[in-house]
Amino acid sequence: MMERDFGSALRTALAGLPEGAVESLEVSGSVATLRVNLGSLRAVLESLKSSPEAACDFPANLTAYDTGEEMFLVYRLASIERGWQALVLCRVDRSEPVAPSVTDLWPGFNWFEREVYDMFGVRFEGHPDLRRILLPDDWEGFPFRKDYVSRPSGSPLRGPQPIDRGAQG
Amino acid sequence: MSLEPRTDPNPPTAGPETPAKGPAIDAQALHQEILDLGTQGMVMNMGPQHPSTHGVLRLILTLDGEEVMACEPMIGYLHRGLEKMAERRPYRHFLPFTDRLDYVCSLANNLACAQAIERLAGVEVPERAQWLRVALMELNRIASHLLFLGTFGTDLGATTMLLYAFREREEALALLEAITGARLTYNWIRVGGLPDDMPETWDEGVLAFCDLLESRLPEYDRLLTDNPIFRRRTEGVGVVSSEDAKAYGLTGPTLRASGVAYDIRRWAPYEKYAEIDFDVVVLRDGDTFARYLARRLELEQSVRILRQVFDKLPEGPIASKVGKVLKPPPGIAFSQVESPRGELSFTMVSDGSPNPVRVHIRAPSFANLTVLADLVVGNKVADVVAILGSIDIVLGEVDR
Amino acid sequence: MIAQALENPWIRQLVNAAMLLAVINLGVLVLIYLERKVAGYIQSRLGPVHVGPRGWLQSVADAVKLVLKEDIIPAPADRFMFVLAPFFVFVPVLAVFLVLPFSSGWVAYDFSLAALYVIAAGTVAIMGIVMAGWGTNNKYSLLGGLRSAAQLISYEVPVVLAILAVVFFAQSMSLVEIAEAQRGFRWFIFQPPLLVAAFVYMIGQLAETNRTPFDLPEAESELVSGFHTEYSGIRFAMFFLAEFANTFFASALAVVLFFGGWDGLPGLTGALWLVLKSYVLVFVLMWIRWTLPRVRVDQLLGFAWKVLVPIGLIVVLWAAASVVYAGGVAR
Repeated sequence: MMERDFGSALRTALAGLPEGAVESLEVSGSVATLRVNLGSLRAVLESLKSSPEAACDFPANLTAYDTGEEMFLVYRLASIERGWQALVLCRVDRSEPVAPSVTDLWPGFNWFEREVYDMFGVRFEGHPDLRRILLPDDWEGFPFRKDYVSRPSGSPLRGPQPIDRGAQG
Repeated sequence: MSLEPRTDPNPPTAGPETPAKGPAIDAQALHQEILDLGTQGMVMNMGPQHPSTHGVLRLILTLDGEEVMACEPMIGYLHRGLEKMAERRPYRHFLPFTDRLDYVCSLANNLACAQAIERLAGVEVPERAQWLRVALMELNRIASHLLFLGTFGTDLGATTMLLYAFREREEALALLEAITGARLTYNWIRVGGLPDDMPETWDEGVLAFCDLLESRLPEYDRLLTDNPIFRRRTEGVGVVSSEDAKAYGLTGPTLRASGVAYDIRRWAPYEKYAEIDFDVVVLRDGDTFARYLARRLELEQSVRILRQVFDKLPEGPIASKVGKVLKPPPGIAFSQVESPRGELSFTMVSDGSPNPVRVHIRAPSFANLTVLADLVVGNKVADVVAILGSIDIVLGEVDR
Repeated sequence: MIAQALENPWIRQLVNAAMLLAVINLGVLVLIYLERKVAGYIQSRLGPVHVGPRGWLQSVADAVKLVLKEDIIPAPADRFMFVLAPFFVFVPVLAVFLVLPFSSGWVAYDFSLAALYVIAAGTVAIMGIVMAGWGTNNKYSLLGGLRSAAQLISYEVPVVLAILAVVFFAQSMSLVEIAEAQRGFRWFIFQPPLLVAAFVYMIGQLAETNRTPFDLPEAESELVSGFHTEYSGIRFAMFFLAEFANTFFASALAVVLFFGGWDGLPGLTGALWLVLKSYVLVFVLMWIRWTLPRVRVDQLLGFAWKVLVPIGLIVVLWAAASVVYAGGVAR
């Protein structure tokens, strides 16, 4: 029941998008898995959020993963009222990872995008303040990539640097 | 004497169609502007070592006297690269690491991790194990909320609350120690069930503890909830509207205090929560007091759940057999658990090998903390402490 | 030879002063122990138990420890202010004890303007706190010092008004005469306007002595330690002792003003009654400290100026009216 309703709601929501935007759509229970291409990522996310049928307006999760050959962004949007959630997977270019930012749609994804940048090097265009969040600002490299070489001795840290902000005390 | 209600820094937008606005203050730009203007906003550093930041969190506050003009939280002091460590070891070997995420509520982390592996690999959990998992989760929830009550009171100056809350928490930890052997980092959930059954009279101990806690709750109310000074410090402070709460991705009591009824135990029931009768605590005001009260009322609900567990606990195996080497089929799966702080979710990606390709931990404290920067602007320094306390973060899961 | 030396009035005064200092400091040590025990029992634990029988020597051990500590002056601090500040806080507290009567005839100096002197001398301590906050060159201390200055200045006014009401009834500013006027269980607390005045006075003194719910200057969870964050060793001991001595003085003064001073049942000497009653009030102050949370700075100042001061003014008018029309309590 839920599957059918959810499936049709999603198809209605994504109806206005160009051909090939959504590469695949599977619904299992209350979770839908969509694979979209990078060019239509923002349009898909906006449709999912603003369409009254799908109403996936809750930013549950944003992360990425790297298999060594491909790198994917994973968005999870939930609809609290309807009780379903959509998992959106989108492949990004591993050598030059760029993606559109969605912080204007969901301010909650601000730090999530910073973390994906910090760990994978994905540049989110339109992000107001894209810089490292968990690692020190002067860290070199993006650790969660499969081609990251971690250095057991001689870390990229250069020691504490005075932060020039007039901060004191 | 009346206190003007604190104005809501994020007034509710008109209707659900209006897109939520982005972060209201750009801390760096504002700071630069202040310096350019020549007016002195005092930049004060709170943390990373500070009695009130609940861990190693650094807040760079730009103050105008006592009022906060901008706040920039800096995290990462406790980053240990746990997610990367998970990629280098078999799935089940990561479970002990999960204790150290939200170390106040270790079992929730254990459960979320085990559930993700179970969904990825298609492992079933026997009935008895599911019921006991519920009992362990709720006992841990009580312990965590008691810690919150104590530290929140201390943040506001009522140090006695800490001692009272810890007195009861001690009982809860003793019970958890009786079954798991540890007081804080339990590591007592396995893929497929639990490592061992509960001791003989453990259920009587838990029920006795429930009675004890219920008898002590009026004392907590006399000390904090009904105290006029406490009310005045927390009512109307740091109001988050329900639209903003959703837009920022808040979860847990922080979200439910703003009027959004989202509790994973009801929304996407796991283990045996679908068969248990309990209320989801939802409050309308969205201020610091509401966030405090939500947790205080959840204590009563947890007691209610615990009592039902032992009525319905069936006999049976405590874990299902899982092979020595666990190689889940390729794919992606996620688990959702209602930890005391909110929605804790593990996302795992498998390519068929014994080690995961990726383990991502969606920590509720990480998402909840994003709202702090915009929430404290316009409030006093003392309110920063109160608001931060009411969001109830644990840096272990913020930083991972 | 000693008797001959005591003939000299200067030596006699010196001995008086030394005895007074000894009594005060001993009292403070007892008070510190009491605070920790009371805190312990309220918080469902024991408090100090190891050092000495039932922990009696804990305060002594603490005092010795503080004296032996390294004297650290932060490098960027303003040395002059930093060093001078503790004296400005400690000395006025001792100075006000000079006029406190422990019993009829047991007063270091029977000053006819004692009530005024007490208020004036107590205000000097505010300067010391601001000096400490500024001299430390530390933002937390600065915030604490400024908060404290605002708080102390604001709460002086209700305290002064309450004392004024008492002065009306006693027709004198001398503390000895105020206490004498209440002899025979005709305590001022039984007079309606002075009952209200007593509440105003006690709340004001809670703020004057920096005790919770008004302990903003030392708000541990917000400002680490407020204006005395960077002080250690003897300098910190001076702030610490000053706070406790002030607490005891505030209670003793309340007893003299409202609870009859050394008036009590026959059998015990007057001084003992005064001390006993003071300690009851001190216990109440401690009880309040360990139960209530802290108010916020704007709520604190709002409460002082919008609630306590108007009530204080009404009390003064009421007391004046009582004295003029209803006879009051004449000398």
